[in-house]
Amino acid sequence: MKKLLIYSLTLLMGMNLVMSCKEDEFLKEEPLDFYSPDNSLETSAQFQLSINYLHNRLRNIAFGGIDLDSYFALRYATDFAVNATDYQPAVKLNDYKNTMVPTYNVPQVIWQNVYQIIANANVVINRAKLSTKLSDADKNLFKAQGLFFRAWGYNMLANLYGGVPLVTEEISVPRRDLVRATRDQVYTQCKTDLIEAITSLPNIDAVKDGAVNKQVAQHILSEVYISLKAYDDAITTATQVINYPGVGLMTTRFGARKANPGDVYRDLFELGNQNRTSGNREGLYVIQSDYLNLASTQRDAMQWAVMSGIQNVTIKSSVDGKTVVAVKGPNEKWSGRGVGWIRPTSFVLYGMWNSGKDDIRNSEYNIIRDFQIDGVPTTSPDYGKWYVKDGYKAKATGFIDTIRYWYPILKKNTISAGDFPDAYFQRDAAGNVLSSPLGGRLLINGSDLFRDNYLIRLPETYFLRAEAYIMKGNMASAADDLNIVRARAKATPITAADVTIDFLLDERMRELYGEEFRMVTLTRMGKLYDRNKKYNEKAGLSIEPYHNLWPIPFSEINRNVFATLEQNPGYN
Amino acid sequence: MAHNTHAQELLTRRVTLQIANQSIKTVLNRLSKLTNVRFTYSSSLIHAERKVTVNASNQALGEVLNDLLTPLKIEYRVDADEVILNPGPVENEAEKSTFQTIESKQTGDTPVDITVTGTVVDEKGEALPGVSILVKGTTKGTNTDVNGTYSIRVPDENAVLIFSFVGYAPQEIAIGNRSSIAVTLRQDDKSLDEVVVVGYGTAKRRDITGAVARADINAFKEAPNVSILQSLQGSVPGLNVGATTQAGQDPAISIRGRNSISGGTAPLIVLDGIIYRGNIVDINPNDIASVDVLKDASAAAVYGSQASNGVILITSKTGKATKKPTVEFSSSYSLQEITNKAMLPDDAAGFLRKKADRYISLSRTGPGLLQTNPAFDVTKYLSPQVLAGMQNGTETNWWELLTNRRPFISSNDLSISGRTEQSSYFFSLGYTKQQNVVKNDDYKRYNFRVNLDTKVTSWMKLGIQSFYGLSDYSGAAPSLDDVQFQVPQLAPYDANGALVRLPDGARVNPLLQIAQTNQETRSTLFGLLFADINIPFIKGLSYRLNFSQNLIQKRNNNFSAFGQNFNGEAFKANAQQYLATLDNIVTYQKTFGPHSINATLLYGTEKRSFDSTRAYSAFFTNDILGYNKLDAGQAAQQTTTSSAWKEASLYSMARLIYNYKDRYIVTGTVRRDGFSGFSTTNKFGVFPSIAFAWALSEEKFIKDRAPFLDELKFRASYGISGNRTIGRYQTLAKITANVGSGYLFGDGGAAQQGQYLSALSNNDLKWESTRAFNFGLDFGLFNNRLSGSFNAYVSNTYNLLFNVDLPVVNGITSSPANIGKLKNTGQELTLSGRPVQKGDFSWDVTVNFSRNRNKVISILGIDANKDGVEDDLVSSKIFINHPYGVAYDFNITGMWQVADAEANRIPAGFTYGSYKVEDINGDGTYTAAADRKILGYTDPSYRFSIQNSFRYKSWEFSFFINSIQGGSKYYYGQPGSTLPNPDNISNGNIFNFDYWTPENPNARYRQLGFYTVALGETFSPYVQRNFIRLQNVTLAYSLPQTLVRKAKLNRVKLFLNGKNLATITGWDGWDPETGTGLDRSAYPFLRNYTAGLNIEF
Repeated sequence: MKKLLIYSLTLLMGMNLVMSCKEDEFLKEEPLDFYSPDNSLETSAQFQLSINYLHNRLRNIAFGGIDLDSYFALRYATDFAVNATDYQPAVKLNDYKNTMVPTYNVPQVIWQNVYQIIANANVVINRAKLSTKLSDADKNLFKAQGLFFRAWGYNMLANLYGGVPLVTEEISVPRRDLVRATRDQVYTQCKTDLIEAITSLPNIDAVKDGAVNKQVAQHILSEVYISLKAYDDAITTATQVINYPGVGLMTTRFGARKANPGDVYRDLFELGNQNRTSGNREGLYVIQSDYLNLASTQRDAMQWAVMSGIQNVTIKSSVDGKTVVAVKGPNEKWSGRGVGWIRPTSFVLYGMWNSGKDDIRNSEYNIIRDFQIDGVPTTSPDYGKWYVKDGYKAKATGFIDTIRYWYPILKKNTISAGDFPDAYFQRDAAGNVLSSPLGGRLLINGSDLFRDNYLIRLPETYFLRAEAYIMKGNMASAADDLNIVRARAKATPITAADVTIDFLLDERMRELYGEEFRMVTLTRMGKLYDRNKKYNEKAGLSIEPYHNLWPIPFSEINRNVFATLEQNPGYN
Repeated sequence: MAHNTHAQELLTRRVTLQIANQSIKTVLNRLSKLTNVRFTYSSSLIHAERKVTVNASNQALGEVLNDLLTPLKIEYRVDADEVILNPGPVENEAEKSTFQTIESKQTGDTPVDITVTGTVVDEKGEALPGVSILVKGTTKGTNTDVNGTYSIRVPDENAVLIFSFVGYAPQEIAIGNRSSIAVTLRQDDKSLDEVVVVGYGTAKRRDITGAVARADINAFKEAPNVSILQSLQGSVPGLNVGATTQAGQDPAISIRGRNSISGGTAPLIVLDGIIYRGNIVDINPNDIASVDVLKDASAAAVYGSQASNGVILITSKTGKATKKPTVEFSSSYSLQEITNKAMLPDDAAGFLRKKADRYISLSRTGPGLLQTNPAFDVTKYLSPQVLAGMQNGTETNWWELLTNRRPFISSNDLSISGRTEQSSYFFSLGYTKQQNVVKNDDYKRYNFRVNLDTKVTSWMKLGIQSFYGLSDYSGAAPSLDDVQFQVPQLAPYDANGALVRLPDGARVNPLLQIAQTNQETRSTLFGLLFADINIPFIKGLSYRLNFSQNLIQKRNNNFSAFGQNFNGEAFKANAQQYLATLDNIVTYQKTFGPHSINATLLYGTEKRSFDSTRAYSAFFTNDILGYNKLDAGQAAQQTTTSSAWKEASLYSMARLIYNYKDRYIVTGTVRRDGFSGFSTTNKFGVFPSIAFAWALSEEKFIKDRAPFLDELKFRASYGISGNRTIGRYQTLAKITANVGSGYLFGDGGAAQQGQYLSALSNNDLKWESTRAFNFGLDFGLFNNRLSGSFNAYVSNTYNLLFNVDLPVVNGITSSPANIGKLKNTGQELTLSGRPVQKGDFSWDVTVNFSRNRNKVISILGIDANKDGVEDDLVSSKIFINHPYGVAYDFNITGMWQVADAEANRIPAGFTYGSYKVEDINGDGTYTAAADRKILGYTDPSYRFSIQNSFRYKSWEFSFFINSIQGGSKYYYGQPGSTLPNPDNISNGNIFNFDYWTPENPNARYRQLGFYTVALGETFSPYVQRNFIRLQNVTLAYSLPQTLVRKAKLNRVKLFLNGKNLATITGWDGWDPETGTGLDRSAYPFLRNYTAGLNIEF
């Protein structure tokens, strides 16, 4: 027994000894297919990857890579549009009061996605300082870009939610003791960040298309100044943008289709006409997207969402009274395929154009208001008739036909016939492209737009300056700024007497419909309630003044166990 | 490893024994204990009560037996790991009959006049030599010969024969007027000498101190179970095996309660002593000899940081104790069908009806909305495609087009096994094909196994246990959601008979989906090379070297002609995992006087590595070569991704089993585990355990008072085991980089990658630990006619890894930390009995029962509201002192009705046909913060199963009932949570279900056109998943031996089997056990009818 014990213990210890010196080596962990912060936040090329990600996340919010309800909510349930699908009975944000509650996922999704940008911007800002391989110029440049994205994010959050938790450090130990800063504190942080960023950011004509530049930073700073009631600073900063020689409103035809019938406003939204390389000088931050580019698989959902589901429009056949489909299908001559989620308000489709018939933003090139019936046999008396002009629309009985399936097409959210790629066309089983006898090829699911899009365009800078002037009571200067934008649209000039904040909002809509995050603009200005009441046929019925700010997400309050995140008034 | 040792080696084992004037039986018992050799004999035939004296000092067993038995005219021979004793040959018939006559005279019986002959076989039909046959009430008897045949003379037709054999349940058979009786003996699992696999070695059942169970894998042998795990469903209390719905799928398994929240709850799988990380379904169920389940911490503790979910030990077959090769062929064919026809998609009229029901305010009118609104024109709400189809009178049964008419499982297996003096072998081939209901939900498996061992020297045995399995899942099944969604009014083919690309204008025709070229295979190559060395000079000391390698290769190739808007899309993905294990095991077994010890020391390492490559291409110019010509796609659309990882474990373990007088047994183990995935500060964990057993039935005072008691054993154990949970690389900070996170600048700009911090480093992370206490009781009564086992346990898991939800301000949504505590308590009971045993008829019953209660003790450890109790984690629906899975939601009290609307009683956000819920805080509004409560728990309350087997002559009939119950508060699910929202339900088809309309006011589910946002889009009633299922019914018939022998066969068995024949449940949707409810995309639960046969020769 004793012999055995000695025997086996020796054996075991022997094995242990042989191995133990190698144990740590044997169990050492070595990543094979991912990087660590220590080896991938050093060089200029590496930091560029981090900056790319920030652009990517911003595009993800703007183009609808986030949850679609949240994407829509940055645009509809405002004076711009209603939700066309949850209409009968009214649910989601059509029933604003019962839907915009702290547990609704929309405020949560936007909050999370914007904070994700801020957190990653914090990493860039912190690590750029620490890097030993970056030149001082690069350090400043990368840090400035990080500061820009952080300020953009905080500005958006403050606009939507009011004061939010302010975190400006790279997180190494996650925090659950967050408290809200005041709205002014958040704006002040944005101001500080942007002022620093502006000192290092190159001018717009010195960077690649799509990159962060001094002018876009100044534009946002101007908006932040307005929020801080520093109107003179806002005017000064906006003026710096406007006066920069590298930017300017496009007043003459340009770009790929300048020879085609149309107007300059349409040119702004043609495929390939957003970047400076096309001659465009208006885009301050152009969100980049190329067809079939692997770094832009996320495409803009706007065309699909705002375009009516025209392929579903039905008419009563003049032959036998049966319900028949009006068109052969979505046709490239109108738009890509739409489904009618975001339905512009009557104000946007009709009302706001009442006083400006010559406004090119309402031209036949920019808003299509009728279409020809081609879904019936060519021998039918209905064939080739106009849906609106010939009275078919008036006979439509279902709400869907006029709320979701047919309303005027906002052309700016889509590209033109001929620009759709081959892959987007309907084909028969043999692979032949189908088209309408009245012209135009039929589209299939090519409902997402791969075009670049504006996050910020120069007319908005004029609107910011006009807003600052209005807040200062300088209506004449405000009118001047508004008239600059109107002049390009061939709209009749206005006078100082016409200028009000509401007029400014109307004008913003005329210029930026389907383009800006209308929800953010209205919450920033405290006008969400007013404008919904006035123009939104559904959300306006239940909205209340406290809705001018979004609720702090319920889950965020819930997760923040070591401190209390106060809820906005009205939501408790 | 004694069970594998070659026969002749038994006789060389050394014996030291001084014993005087004791019965032969006692001597053999002592020898058995000393040498670990089993003796098989009929007490009566060898007159085992005769007193003898033995005086051996370090002599070979063979010599001792020669000295002892030769004078007694008892012969012995060695068969496998046992020694069979028989009376010596009689010189002639006369002497034989004299011998018997003397006996007859002694008992005063009438002279012999009937001769009965026959063969005794085991359950597999294999001949059993050495079976003792005794005429009841006499001492007269005989034994079966090497072919299992016997011949005995009995006094008259009333005689009863008792067949008995060590390790098998005895059987009594009345002669009647038969002269030939074939007998099948069944293995008696209750045998205390049975060898149980315990992890890194074996032990006798009598030495077991922990909660260990051997699954009865023969009980469901006739069922069409593609994975061996399916055969364990309901068979071991505390082992929970789920149901499967897809071809070639392994069911989910767990042992006892939930010990982890973020980690896996599946037990560790050990195949032939090696931790097996492949898919169980790749192993041919026909190659498996036994499945042992280690349930408590002390039994599982030998696996340390991977043991807290329990361990399943699978042992493959080896060559058996036959001189000539045994060839076994089995084949079965099983027809399948869905269990719930109500889940099939609705017809064309039903689709239109639902369309109208989705717009109740428009389609109905009048008081109570009970009249049809004549102004409602359903065609206004149809898509152009559906409208056209309706006007053309199209009605397509998409389900029929996309499902198989005769789904089946067919299985064919062939094995050859045998044993020679030096070696044993087992070869097998298997082919299984499964075609499920949904088209292309197919599975094919090819298996090949070689198990060999051979004694190369007197002290060393070498062997290999190896298999190759090819699992083939090729073929693209359609998205079931798409199949259900397709509206009957849509036609799949155009006028020319070609497939329509997008029948509804948006979804790809499912018939095109199934036409994709798809290859999906996984091949597993497993080899275990071992050496067993008996260390010279120290008897009982042996060393075993296990070296195992396992290569798992996966291929997944797909070409879709409709991908990328019909421009074609394809990928080729290859992945392989390599695993190597090296175990050094030293064992020492010795008996001295009343003490016996069984010690094991282990030192081993495990290495795993993985790599994968995936190439993708799209926009094919010429796609006829599919995924084999990826470069035919557009250059800019070709992408490659790759990944790789590796990990290593290093461990040592010591175990000692000490047995005193077979009455008191103590087992102690300790394991030290190192794993590369553990953080640098916690690289090693130590896991100790101790267990104690008291075999009360061995005590004299019990033996005297309760002779009917075969076994009574108390067990108690305590141990700490772990769950790795944190996987490789989880403690490291991580930067993820890919082009999908990247960006481009300028029109035509190059795609650039993006990178982001995806994980923070966390050096504090470690394994989860479970401290568990188990109390057990094993008993057997009346020759084990009634036996059973009871276990009760309490386990406390601490250092629970929990992904703490973070405010998303942090940029990440959660972060893991070892903070939580869980507690499980439970009871398990197995009862087996044979209520009837009459002549050729017997009835056996086995009842299993298990119950587990889970409780969250702590999660975040925060008491922010300062009430002295830790706060619940409402955001994750975790409540302190409640089970982990909680149905925490609004409480439905009814449905708002049209009358409520007419009386203006319906609160904002609700309408008629929406759920009426309790306003818990009574403030008139309904919020998640204030109006939800615990409605019940998602875990089952208890499970039970009953197996009934009836045997009559060559017939065998059995049925198995399985049930999981929720009692009053448990086993809640939400069958309606997957119902589509109003928009999706009106565009696509769906099955019919109990939804609200003015005409169906008492429906279980809300109206189709509205949901209350405050309650959530998926909010729906909670329903208990309780069910009782007739899970298995088998009728088997073994052809008479006389017939079989004529055909030169050993055994022919025919059987019929029904699986999942009937289920009683209140659940809605596909199946309560799978938990799939009213889910358009869930795969159906299937029923099987099987016929098959086994032939052995």
